[in-house]
Amino acid sequence: MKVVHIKCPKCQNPFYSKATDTVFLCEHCGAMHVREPELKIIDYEFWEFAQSYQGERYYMPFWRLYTTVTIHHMQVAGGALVKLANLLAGGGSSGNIFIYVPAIEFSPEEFKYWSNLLTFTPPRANVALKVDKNVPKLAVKIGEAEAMKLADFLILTYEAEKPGVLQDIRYDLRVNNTKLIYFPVYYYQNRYYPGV
Amino acid sequence: MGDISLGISCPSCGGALKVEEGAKSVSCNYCNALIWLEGDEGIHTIMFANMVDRNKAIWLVQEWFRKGLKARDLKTAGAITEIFPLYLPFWRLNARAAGWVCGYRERQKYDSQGRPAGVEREYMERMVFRDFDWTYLACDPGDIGVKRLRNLYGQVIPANVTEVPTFEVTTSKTDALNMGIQNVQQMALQSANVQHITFQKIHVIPRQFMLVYYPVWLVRYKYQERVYFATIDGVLGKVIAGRAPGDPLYQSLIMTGGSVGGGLAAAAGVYLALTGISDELGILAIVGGVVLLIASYLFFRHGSEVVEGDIEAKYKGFSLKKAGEISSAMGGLKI
Repeated sequence: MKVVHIKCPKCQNPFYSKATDTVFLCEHCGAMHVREPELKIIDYEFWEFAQSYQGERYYMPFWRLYTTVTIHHMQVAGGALVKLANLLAGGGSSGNIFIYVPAIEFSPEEFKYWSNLLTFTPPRANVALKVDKNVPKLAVKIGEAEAMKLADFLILTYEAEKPGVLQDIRYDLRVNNTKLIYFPVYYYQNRYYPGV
Repeated sequence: MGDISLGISCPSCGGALKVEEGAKSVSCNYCNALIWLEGDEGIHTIMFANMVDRNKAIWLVQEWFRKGLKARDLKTAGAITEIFPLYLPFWRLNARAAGWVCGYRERQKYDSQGRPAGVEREYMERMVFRDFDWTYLACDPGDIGVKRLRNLYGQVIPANVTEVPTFEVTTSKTDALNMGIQNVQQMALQSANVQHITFQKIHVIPRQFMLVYYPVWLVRYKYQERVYFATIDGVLGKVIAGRAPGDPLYQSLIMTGGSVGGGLAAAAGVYLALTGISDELGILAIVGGVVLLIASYLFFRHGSEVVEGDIEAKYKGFSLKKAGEISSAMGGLKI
């Protein structure tokens, strides 16, 4: 087994922390990197807290995928599809959308809730120019490659919701770029609440 | 499985590292250095502690001799000739399946008189979003009745395959991973339970792929000059596989009882059908009687040896499922 002390691939600053994660943010130069499946510097941003609620503050990570979706064929029993078509520009069969995939472990219901919340009603938030170091980051459990597969799963989820019963669909999903978004949340009575 | 000490040191301060099973990064308890762990060729390996000693293994086999339809004098006449512990390597894949399975289910419709009135189609879309575990033996130890892990929990110890008797890994990581992904895909598809599938897309996302060295005891014993074996789970302390002699008395009793019962049921079925009391009940009784006959014959023919575990055998006990399969083949009636 290979054991290495993690260092920033950009400035070689060694990392010291009690908290473990699968993404590593260098306090020295600000670069964030992952080490699996390969060493890679990734794009990220923190969003500012805009509301004050009860509870503890956290940054919850999401993979934001800028995608192009093209639907070639759909077949639905007993209804019409509206949800994804509405999401695509002008209700057409092709368009660009941001898909938000939670990067922490969630139950299927919470996973859908948070993904839908940010994908369908993206909140207006400012990018934090200075990150509050006293606010802990929740550890990233879902990698970028996994997030791409889950985005594809979410596309089907949007389609497979009422009013019709999905029977067949052919589509293309192209991921143009990805970014790790640290979304501000409050943790209160065993639940997370948006902090924007 | 909790924290495990792998006998490795922090590259920054030299302190002993404690690692959570499957973790890739760890913080040193002494200097807070963040450490990254990479398995050999990217594979993490863990090993379970053997919790069964020789005496307990012998006791477990002797208890096993007494259970089931094995020869009644096996506990006294069966003589253990060889007993030794060994470690078997298993591939373990933990993967998340995320996707949708769409299609329909067909149901027979009946009118108010109870007569068939066509087939109704119920459309369905099923989401699959859950984790699956798949394990498979990573070596070829011969026929010892173990091909997959039945237990994933136990005390983990440093994996030191040079100091304990193990079988060499003979399957490649890539082949095993592909096989695991295919199996998880299949498990996910089955879990959706859609009768007629019109669309399916399931992503299998590997979350943990590792080699698990698992302790088993291999016991060989003799009974009437024939050699049999049993395999004992070294973590759970129970027999997981084995071959044992059957009992001629049980065979004869079941054959006789099955023939009588099956014949009577079939005759009653013919009577019910011919007298017009109930055609459906008559057919059901005939099919039930034939199934009973086949089951008792199979036990009589192949029940001279009892097998348990992942062993290819002509006869491995008769289940309701198997009875259902036979009856389905005979006329579509489910038991």
